[in-house]
Amino acid sequence: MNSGDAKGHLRWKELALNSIAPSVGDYDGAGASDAKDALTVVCFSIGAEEFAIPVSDAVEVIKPRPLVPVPNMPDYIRGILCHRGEMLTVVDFRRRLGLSHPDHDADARILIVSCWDIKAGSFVEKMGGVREVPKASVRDAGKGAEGRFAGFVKGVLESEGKEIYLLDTYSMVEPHAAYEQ
Amino acid sequence: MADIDPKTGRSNEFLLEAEDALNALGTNLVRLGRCVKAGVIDHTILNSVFRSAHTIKGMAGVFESDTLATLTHSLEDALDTLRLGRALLTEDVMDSLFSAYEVMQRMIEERRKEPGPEALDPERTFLTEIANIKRSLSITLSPHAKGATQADGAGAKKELSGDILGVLTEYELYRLKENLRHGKKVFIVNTRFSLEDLERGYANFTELLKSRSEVIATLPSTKTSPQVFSFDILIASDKGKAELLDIVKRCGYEFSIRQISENNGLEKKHEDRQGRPPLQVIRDADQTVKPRKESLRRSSSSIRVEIAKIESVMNSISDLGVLKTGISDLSARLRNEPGLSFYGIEISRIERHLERKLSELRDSVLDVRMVPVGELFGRYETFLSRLARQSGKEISIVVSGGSTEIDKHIIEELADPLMHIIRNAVDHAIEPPHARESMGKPRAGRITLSAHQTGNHAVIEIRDDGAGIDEDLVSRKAVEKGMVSPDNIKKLSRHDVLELLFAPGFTTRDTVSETSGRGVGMDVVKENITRLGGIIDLATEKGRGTRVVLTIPVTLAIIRAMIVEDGGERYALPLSSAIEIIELRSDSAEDIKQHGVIAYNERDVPCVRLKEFFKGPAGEEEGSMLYGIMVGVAEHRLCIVVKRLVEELDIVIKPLSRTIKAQGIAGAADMGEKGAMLVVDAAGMLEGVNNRLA
Repeated sequence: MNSGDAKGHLRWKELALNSIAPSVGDYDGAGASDAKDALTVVCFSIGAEEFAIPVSDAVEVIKPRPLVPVPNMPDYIRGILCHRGEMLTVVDFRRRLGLSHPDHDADARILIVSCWDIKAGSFVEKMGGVREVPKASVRDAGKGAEGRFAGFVKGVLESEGKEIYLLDTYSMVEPHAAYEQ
Repeated sequence: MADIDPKTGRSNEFLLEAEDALNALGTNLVRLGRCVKAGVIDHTILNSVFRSAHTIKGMAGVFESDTLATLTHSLEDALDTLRLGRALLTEDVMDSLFSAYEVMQRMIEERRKEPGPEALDPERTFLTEIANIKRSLSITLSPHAKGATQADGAGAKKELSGDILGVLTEYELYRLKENLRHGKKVFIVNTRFSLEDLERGYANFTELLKSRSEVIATLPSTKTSPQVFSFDILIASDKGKAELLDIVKRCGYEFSIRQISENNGLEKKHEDRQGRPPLQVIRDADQTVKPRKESLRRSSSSIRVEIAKIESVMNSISDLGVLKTGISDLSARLRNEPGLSFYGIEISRIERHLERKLSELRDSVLDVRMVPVGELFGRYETFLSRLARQSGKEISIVVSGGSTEIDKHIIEELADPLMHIIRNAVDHAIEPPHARESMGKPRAGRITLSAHQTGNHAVIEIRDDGAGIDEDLVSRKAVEKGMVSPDNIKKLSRHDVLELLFAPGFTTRDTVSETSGRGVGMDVVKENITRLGGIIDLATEKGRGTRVVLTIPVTLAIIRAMIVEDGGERYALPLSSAIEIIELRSDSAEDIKQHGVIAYNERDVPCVRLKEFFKGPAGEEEGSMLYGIMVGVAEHRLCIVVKRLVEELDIVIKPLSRTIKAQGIAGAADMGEKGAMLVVDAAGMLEGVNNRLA
């Protein structure tokens, strides 16, 4: 399970070389991201909002491919995808967060995340980059975020004057009680 | 998982070997038990039981298990006493031997489990059992009249030179005396084999001798040279020398026979130089002056492989299949490209060749996973003879079709269901001997295990000639237990009543016995068979017996699936669960729509439209022809109705992520360029349909 982290870093370096995502952070520094004072995150945007997840949860980014819809699933489960021999569930982060933003998928990417025992794809609108922020700058999610993205936001961090919501990857992709019988 | 501790790896290997030795012990014990019943003890079987016990004792050292060592040690002692004729082999002794065998089996099983902090405990729990066995062994082994054999054979002793007598073990000496006492003639057969031929030649030769005589001992002869091994084989037979000569001549090995008897002190020597002369080989060997190399080579040419390794090869093959699809798409595109069509055709030719090779490769890997079902059947022989002794019934087991091959994984999944079915037959079906006699049946009940292959399925049949299932009793019990209301029970068909047997917790027994009555059994059978995608059929006739037929796919690794289309989506439906595909013309389709059932084999089978199952009721549609796929899960049937049959394909099912639990979906198949395709789970659909109907 822990080996996923190491792989995550590696793939992120590949990602930088392929320049699928615009580079912002110091990629070589990403390996040392688990240092006590810094937090490395992957950013992406949905509509006007910016979100991030810890880089250790991210595996790789792929271009959208046709997904196979699975019957009787909540609407934020877009379908399944076969990637590197594994069947991944693809969660639409936009719908999961309840953002009613019109679908325009031109820049959309599938960000593959691995968190605890779950590996899933997440449909995001536009990839940002990898950023390193001081841990101290992460504040608790304020009331506003609580209201809007209840249960999904771990904290808020500020970078270049913008507020970025740090998402809790697990709760984004975890099996939802509504259909887990 | 990835890092295998060399020590655990080694101990696993030993565990496997110990299991083999234990299996051999079990089979031989059963055979010995039969001998005891018949009143004639076959000392060769007794001797092989002794040898297996000895082997296991040696393994106990490897496991560093003191308890196993103590147990095997006393078992070995007891068997030694028996084979030396110092004690009588009675049925009581057999019982003790069997219980020792069972304890050993459990100990090995314990060992197989993950070693944890509690690893020491099982050792201790076995101690009391071992003490009991030791006690019962010492009680049941009553000393046998000794000395009677002492006087005989004195004459023969004179004939055998001192050095030969000196090297005979106590057991061999005992057998020699016994044979002389029974008036058998004793011979010394001298034979030689070259180094190359040693193993096979010796085995063939002794096998031949064993058919006509008892081989008492094999002694290396003084004539042995580095290239030629010479043996003196001491045999006893009631045949004359001429007759023996005739038989042994056939093997074509060089040999001589010398008879030893009380009356005839003369040594007759008869050389026979027929057949393949080994001399030529010897001369060759002499010329090259090959020094005899020390070798640790084993003669066995088979290996044991972890099933996971085969699985990973299987995965690579399926990945290759996906790549191949990519090539075929490319060749199709090239063929339509002006000026490049030549290359397209060339690539497609290569691609077809690749496909053939891939399917060969897949077949041979699948073949590696196959094991004969006889190996599984063999386990029940010990089990049955123990069960019969415990229940006081007489039971014979008949096995046929043991060479039918089934995937190793499936064999293991079948082990428990078969055990429950057999246990049920012994407990509920087979009557006590006196009851059977009064009904005009043979005293001993008969349980038949048979297997054969039909297409992609193996059919395993368990038949008994017992009392059959009392359907009235089943209905009564079901009402008593509140599983069915008294009103409804009358409406149930004969088939439905039998289905109640598979309900969890159902039992017709009022008391819980050692072997059954707890109400776990048939539901386990159903669960396991269902998981394998198999079908159970039950037929019973009162007073005549019961037949349980399990139809299971031969392999699970790669599944033949029908790709179907309904509601604009494509799904893969494993053919392993499909029984039949039927065309539904507009009138019958209309009929189904109204009643939701279809008549099939005189049963009303529920029907479900695939797209409606997954997406809810949909509107009318154009076109009249539909297809119904009859699927069977355990004893249930369901007809899945689809719009179109696309093609038949081999697929590898991959599980969906834990985040998705969709009823009726078994997983998805990787179709390469075409993405993924959902695989329909017939068992889940059936459950869903039943829930909706209820």
